[in-house]
Amino acid sequence: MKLERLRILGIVVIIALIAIEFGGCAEKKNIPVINYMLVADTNTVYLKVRVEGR
Amino acid sequence: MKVRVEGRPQYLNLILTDPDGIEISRAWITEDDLLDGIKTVKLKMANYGETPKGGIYTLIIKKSYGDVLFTKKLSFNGANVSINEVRFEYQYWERFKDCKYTIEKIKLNISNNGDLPAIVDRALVTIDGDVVKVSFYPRKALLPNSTNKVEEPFRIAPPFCLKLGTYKVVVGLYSEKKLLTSYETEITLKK
Repeated sequence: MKLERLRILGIVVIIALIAIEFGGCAEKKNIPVINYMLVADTNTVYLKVRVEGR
Repeated sequence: MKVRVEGRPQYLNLILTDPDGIEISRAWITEDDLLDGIKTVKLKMANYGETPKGGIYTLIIKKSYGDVLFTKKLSFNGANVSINEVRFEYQYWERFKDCKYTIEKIKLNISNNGDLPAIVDRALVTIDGDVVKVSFYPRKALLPNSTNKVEEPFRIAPPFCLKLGTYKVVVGLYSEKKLLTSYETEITLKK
């Protein structure tokens, strides 16, 4: 009985870990990088980043 | 750089680290900034007046509570500045024996063949061993793959006097005390 509970708990932990991993990947896949732009005024050089959210 | 984030508008931190792994700049985007869906931010790649170093920069976008949403490594070779031509504008003085010419202006043709902009703040002009500092006001930003004509007056007192003859001239271009490039030439002054 105790062994059975441990087995179920183990399965739940593994499923949770897989879910977290896939969730993370899905989130990162939704952030494509298209291009970047360098700009400079007379004193400083900048990396210009455009963030789009929806 | 264009980055798209999906989900509820949220507070974001954007961090840029330089090739030494040191955080060089940081910007914030609030929930309100993204209500219309777009926000553009500028991240400094080097300190005020400095030319950014070549190497790998890292852009990190984090949620306010710490989760990293996005990391991108950006590789640059750096600025590659060269002087193509140096010319001077002179004033001729008929009546002075030891000061036949004074230099009024320096005219430079400068290229940046690198992949990062360069910021130039001064030139050191050495004429037969005498050094004259020419400061650029304002500083000059040389964009990648560009050729620039720069003219700057010789703001020195008393004026730099030259007799007739041939002089060896070395011009060094600097960005916040760091030598970017130098150029050697000769000038001949005749009557």
